[in-house]
Amino acid sequence: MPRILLLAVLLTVAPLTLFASLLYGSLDLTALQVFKALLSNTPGLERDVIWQLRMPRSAGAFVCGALLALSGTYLQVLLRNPLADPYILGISGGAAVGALAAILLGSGWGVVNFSALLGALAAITVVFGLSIRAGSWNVHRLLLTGVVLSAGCSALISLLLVLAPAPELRGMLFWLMGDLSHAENILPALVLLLLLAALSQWQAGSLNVLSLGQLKAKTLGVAVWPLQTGIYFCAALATVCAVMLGGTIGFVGLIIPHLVRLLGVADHRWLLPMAILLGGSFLTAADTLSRTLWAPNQLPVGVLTALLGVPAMLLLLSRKR
Amino acid sequence: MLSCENLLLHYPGKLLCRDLSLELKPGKYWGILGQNGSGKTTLLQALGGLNEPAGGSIALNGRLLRSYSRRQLGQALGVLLQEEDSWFWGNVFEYVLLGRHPHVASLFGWSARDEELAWQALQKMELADLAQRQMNSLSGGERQRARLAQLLTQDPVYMLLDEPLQHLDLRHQLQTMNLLRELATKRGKVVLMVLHDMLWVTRYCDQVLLLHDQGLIVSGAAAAVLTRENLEALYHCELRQYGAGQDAHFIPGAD
Repeated sequence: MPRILLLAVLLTVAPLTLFASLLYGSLDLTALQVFKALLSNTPGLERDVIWQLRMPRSAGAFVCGALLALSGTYLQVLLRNPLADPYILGISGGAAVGALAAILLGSGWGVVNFSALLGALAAITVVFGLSIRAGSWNVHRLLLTGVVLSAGCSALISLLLVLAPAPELRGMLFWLMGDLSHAENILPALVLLLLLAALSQWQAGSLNVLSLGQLKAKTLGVAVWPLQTGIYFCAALATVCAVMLGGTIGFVGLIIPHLVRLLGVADHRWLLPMAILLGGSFLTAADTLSRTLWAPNQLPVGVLTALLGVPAMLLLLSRKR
Repeated sequence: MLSCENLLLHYPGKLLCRDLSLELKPGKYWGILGQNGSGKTTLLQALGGLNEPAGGSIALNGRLLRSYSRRQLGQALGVLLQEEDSWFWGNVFEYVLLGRHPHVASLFGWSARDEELAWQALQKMELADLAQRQMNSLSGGERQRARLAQLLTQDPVYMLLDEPLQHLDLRHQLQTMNLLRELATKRGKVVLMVLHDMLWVTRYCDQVLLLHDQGLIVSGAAAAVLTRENLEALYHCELRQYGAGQDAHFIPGAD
């Protein structure tokens, strides 16, 4: 499929997915009612449900998915490793340790979020500090440091889960598997997403060259060290923001860049915007299913992303020569 | 003009080059010869601004290399690396087009001129028919030609090539050497290449650098430097010489 057509499809799918997520929920609404509620200024039940309940969550899911896909794409280029995902560098591990410790101590949601942020920042600093030598990146060391830190965090997470009393345990498990029900104030994340999208579009050509290797990129006029540092911190920021919106939702950041590549797009000038759109739509759809399939119960959205993502990825892989 | 003064190059635990002063003037065709591990690649990469020398200075048009931005260096100096990851996401044309990266002015992709230069380079390297093939489906020789085509598309004044003839068949070796000579003589490019085959060096290069042990470097006009005695000392093996001047052949073995 030509790239422009694929982009057009994704640009159509994104608003449709968002609209569908506003349409389905515990209160039955028709499409017309959703339209009216979106456009009207008069207070009413439909308007409250749409604007105060469903919209923040749907928009949160979209932004979270887009950030994860963006972060995954960045890290796959930075580490030159197709297995890289937003959580590979231990950022989410640090955030999870922070968040679970706060939940264990019985803190409110604000403190949990703040604690997750502190954990993530600590992980970002440790990995960065240990991976840099004399002003140059060694991506193998970066990858190893991240993986080792992640393993350490996993051990701490297990310890916290074992120590947790039963009432807190469920909240902790949901946080770990991803939970978008607390995505309320999405404005900072949305602003970050727009900034990162603009920034990555500006640097997309350099990312293409960087995928040829560090030395080769230097010969082609790319200032490799600032670019890699930029990618690292952009990926870290996107991951922290996504984790704070929805916990550690797995799979989106790993498979979305690959799905776009398997659709025949690998030039980052096209890949990045498509990953943003597909990641956002995918997580919005998964979240809609997670809260409607087994209503009034909710399934962890991370389970849905895996259940939807694995077959899609396997299908595309099997069709590729 | 690209020049270096009192250049000192180290590799951990090994002195590669000391007190080297050179001026690479337009229109010249340089060859570098030396044993494995003698520092040919390190020297080439230092001159290309890819690694910092341990001492001395390298200047481009009178200004130190490190005072230029990476992009400016990419416009003036092109380096064909000896090794490169074979993995690339796109087709041959997209790969060759990346050579325009240091020159690209628009956020929205390549200009018509960029694409035209890439096509011309593909045609010169006889790759036009393979333009739409995936890079990772090419043979070793075809991939080497694509890398050369990318360098031609980059169109730098200084072309620093590390073993440009590797994987190429004889005809493509000849075409590449002729093409580079044409670029040097007709378009004022400076060509500096690391080679192992003395045949090409004697026939094509105006200037030669011999990288001996202990950082000793012999440089000068090809005719003066490429003697049997010099080459025997360089490679630590006996040679037989047939012919003279540009037709000289050196073959291993005692008389």
